[in-house]
Amino acid sequence: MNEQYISPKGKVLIADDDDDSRLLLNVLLSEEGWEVCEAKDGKEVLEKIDEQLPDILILDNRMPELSGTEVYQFLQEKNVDLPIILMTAYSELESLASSLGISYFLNKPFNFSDLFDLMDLASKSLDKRS
Amino acid sequence: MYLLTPEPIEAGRIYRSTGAIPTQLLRQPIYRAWERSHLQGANPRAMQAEKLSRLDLERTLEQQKNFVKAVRPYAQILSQAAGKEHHAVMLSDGDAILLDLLGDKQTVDTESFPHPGALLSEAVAGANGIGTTLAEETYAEIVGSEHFIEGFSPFTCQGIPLRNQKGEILGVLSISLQSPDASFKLKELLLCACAGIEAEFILANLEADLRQVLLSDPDNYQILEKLRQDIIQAHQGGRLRMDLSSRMVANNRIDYAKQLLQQAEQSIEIFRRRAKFWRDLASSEQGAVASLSVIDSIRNLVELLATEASIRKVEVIAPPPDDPIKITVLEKRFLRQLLRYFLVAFEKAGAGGTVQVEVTRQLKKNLAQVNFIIIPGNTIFSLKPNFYTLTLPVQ
Repeated sequence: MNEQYISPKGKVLIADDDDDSRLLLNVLLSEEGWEVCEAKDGKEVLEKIDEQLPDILILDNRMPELSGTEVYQFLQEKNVDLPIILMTAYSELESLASSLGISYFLNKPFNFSDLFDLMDLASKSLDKRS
Repeated sequence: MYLLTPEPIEAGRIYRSTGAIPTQLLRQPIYRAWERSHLQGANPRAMQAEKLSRLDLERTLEQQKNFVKAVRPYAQILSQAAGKEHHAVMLSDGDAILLDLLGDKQTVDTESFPHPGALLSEAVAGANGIGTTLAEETYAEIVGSEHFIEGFSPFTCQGIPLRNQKGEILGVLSISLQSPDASFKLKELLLCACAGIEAEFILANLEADLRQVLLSDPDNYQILEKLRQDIIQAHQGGRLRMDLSSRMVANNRIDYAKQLLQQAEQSIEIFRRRAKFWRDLASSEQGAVASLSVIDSIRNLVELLATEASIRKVEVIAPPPDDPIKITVLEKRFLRQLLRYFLVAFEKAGAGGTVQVEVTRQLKKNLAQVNFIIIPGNTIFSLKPNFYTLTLPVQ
């Protein structure tokens, strides 16, 4: 039987120290046709960005080594052009996002559809710029 | 497979022609619902649901906007699970006023289908997924012709009451499908959604408590805010599992869907437990005098502090759960004291350090000692471990 190869939508890097969270996001994103790679802490995120060249980064805020906002600021300073979606349960999320200039953020808890909507927006803005 | 029986259809025909409700043709809960509907004057031939005035509806929706917002994501999950089936997911308040509605266009966009503002109590709309759930104060299922009003008979409806932490019913979440089999597949998801929504109410309480901490105990605000973020992780896991389960139901992968729901329920339970513990830590009250297991309290706190310890790169060794030393203390004050000891220990240990907690009993003096043994990490210049001890009266 010939299996038709369907090329992935793109590559997404999931950065979260919570194993459960990474697993669930990986399962769903893979089902939705994304190629998925993972990082468990802020330092590993930076390594994986260099190695894997993802198209989108889904970034948890509370992580060991470097927090999500620290990773974000580092990437901004290095002018890394990568759409970043920040996930956090921080109570002052909107003012945090605004102070750092983060366009895409998700307040926990969220549904997958919220994440997909943001990923769509983030991908489109990247397409426009390129 | 769900079998539709002819008895309710016959029961409806007898009732509409004679006014008598034949008990032998209806399930007990449905007989009770029809009796209530009849006694309260519901019209079985009503063509459309009665509704609130526009002004009253606007007022009601404004008052209930936080409730609607909390429930919406779960209504979306249920709607997703229905897949291509004709369906409607409805939310009512505690007076059976319809607040929110989701579903496929063919079902919800028809004029005859109830819309926000519709009155769905048994007194007005007879036995139905919302009114009957409220009357019985528990899960209810109305299959096809078991509806008191003929117009609702194409649907099988299920409803579950949503309660606040005091146990008061705030409203009903209901799902209606044209296929009884499809309805049956969604039952567990509906029950799990109820648990998820009630966890949302707990979440809202945590936010309120945090604002209170900022006013009354600002020194502890930062750590409590971090711990609050950490406990939400379990709730997030529950929500994502429910979402994934609903996609599996829509694709008819029922066994996997059930497995995910069981895991979702476990996550929600973990969240509830940790939230209660967090609320005790955040409270400005002393708390009642209580008999507590020292080791359980320590292990619960270690669990809560796991992410914080990981971020600080401190290894924590909790005492094993075997010795149930009980103490009699002011519960909330003791837990806050324990938290302070842990935070000091983390500071002293530093990155790469270890905090080991042991509990010993001094039999002659009827006291328990909680010993924090701190082995500093690489960044802290110290030749020997530090010790901190908390002494408590044993019960």
